[in-house]
Amino acid sequence: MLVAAVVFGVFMAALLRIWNTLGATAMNTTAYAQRQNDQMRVFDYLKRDIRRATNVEIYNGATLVTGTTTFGSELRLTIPDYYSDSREEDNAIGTKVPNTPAVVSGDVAYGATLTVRYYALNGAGIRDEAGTARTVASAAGAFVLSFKRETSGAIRSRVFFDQPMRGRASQTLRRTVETICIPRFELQL
Amino acid sequence: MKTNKLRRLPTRQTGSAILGALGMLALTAVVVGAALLESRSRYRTTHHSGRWTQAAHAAEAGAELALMSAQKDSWVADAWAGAPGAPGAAPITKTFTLSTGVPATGPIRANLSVDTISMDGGQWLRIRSTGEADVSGGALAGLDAQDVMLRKLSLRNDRTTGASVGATPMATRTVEILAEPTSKSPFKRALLLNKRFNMSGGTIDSFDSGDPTKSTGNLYDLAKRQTNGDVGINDTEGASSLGGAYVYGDLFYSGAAVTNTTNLQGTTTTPFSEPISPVAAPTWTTFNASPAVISSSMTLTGGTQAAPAKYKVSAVTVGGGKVLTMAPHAVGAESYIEVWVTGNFTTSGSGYILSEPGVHVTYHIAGDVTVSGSSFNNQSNIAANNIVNVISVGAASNQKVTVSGSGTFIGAINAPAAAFTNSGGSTFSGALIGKTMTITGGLTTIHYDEALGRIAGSGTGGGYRVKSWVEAVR
Repeated sequence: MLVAAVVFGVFMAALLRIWNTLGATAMNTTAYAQRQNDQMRVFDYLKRDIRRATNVEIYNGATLVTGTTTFGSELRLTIPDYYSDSREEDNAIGTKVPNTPAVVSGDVAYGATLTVRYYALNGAGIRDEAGTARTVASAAGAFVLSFKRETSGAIRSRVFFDQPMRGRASQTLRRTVETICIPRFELQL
Repeated sequence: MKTNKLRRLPTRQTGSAILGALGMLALTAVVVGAALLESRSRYRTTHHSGRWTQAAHAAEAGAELALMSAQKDSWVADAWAGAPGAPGAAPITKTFTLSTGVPATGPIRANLSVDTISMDGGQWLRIRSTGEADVSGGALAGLDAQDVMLRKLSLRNDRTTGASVGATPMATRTVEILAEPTSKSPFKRALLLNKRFNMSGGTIDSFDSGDPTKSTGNLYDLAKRQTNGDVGINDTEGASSLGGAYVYGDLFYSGAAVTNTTNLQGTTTTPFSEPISPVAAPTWTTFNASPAVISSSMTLTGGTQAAPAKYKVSAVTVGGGKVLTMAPHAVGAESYIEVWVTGNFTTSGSGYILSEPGVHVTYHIAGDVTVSGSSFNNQSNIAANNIVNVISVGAASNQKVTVSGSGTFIGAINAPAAAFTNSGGSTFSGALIGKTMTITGGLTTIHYDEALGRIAGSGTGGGYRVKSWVEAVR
């Protein structure tokens, strides 16, 4: 009876351990997939907005980063205010009527311009359009966003996440991806 | 004899072990199932991202294709219905299928819409290109609202047209390109001079032959007078005067102040610099062999816009009683004629040039021009149909454009290297560009035709330069 109880206990403990490990692995896999998804979304946003920007600046806090060697933590893009309403450009509920383009100082302008900022805040990836901030990457990922201008004029964007693993707090799920995107104006349109 | 009887476990205990195992199995299945569901959704989102990016590439490729047709002016040859019309005309459209022959790629298309808009004094090309890439995996959005907001997939209805997409959800991206004509009109003002300008009385104002609210029957109408008869002088050389002329427009100059501006109705701006491009000689190698010289009455017949009739002659001399007729290639058809004169261009006495209605004539003259105000009978009544380019032969040249006598000239003269002299009180409906200009007689009137500011430059073959690229993200 005692032997049977011990065997059963060991068996149950092993089963519980396996179940816990399996559960943690599943959770970590899911979390990793979610953070990859966040990362992909941030890059899709960046590629779209850098492409259509009419001016690109990189900042480290309040300091404008010049040159092609230093990474900054914030990307500031000037984009055309294409739509005639005051909603966010992305807001599909708004009108689809564009502002009438005009030539201003030799350049084409659709109304006033908008400033779009990308930065990380408390681990979340933030996209701020004209003062309206939205989280585009979850704070759970402890995201770090970095930007650098290449000598070609292209913008190198680096997105890094470092999320603690479930069940192994000393270890993290981490991944760094970089892309290089050229604004259209650098191609002389 | 003793027999060992196996003691049966209580049925309740046996059941709890099985139930416990089943419970663990169920919980495990739930965890694994949730992970699989999550993976499936994330995989779908990855697919959405890929197709969304491909739609952007399709949109850009479509815009490039349209731009290529524009640069070559090969709209019809490239299977478009025609060239884009005037501003306000319906856009021309076309669909390109881009995925043909690409392995493992679903349908990718670019839907294009091209029209023209009036901007900065020219007709700009507006290209709107929507790239479409079919999405696999059903009409299911991603799990995150941010993905939905970013990619705006057309899962059940096309988000641009509202039409049902049926069983083929799509990713769509739209870009809008604005391209300015590289060959801008040089005629942005009534008068533009590199050097001094002297006028003695008279009037300068404006109208628009292309706008019935600013003209009547394409002609100047005093009741519809406009105030864009601007005068620009790059260097007054200290000897420029409006001579008390009534100028219904603004004065721009550099150098010592222009004098006698009492009747200037607009503002004065100084300094001023507007580089004037030299007029280059044509580079034709094929043209009509006859005539080689024009010295008597004759008729030149036009061609189509795509294939204008070209004539190269050593001189044009239309003497008293002679008429040089510019005729269309078919009755009532818009016709185009270019005449390259390697020597002088002269009319005298009652001789004149008759341009029949609908005929667009462009002259390229290498020598001097000596005409009277009534030398050109432009029956289209449109200045843009009568362009006189005086080929620049160097800053030190003594090229002359001399207009004498009264009469009405409807057209535009571009002679940036020539000294321009006018006497006798002619009326000009059009625009004038010269090196210097002296107008005497006191009765000369210049009605700037604002429609000239919208034409392409002369003899450079057109073309477009992309000035703006935006993505319509909604």
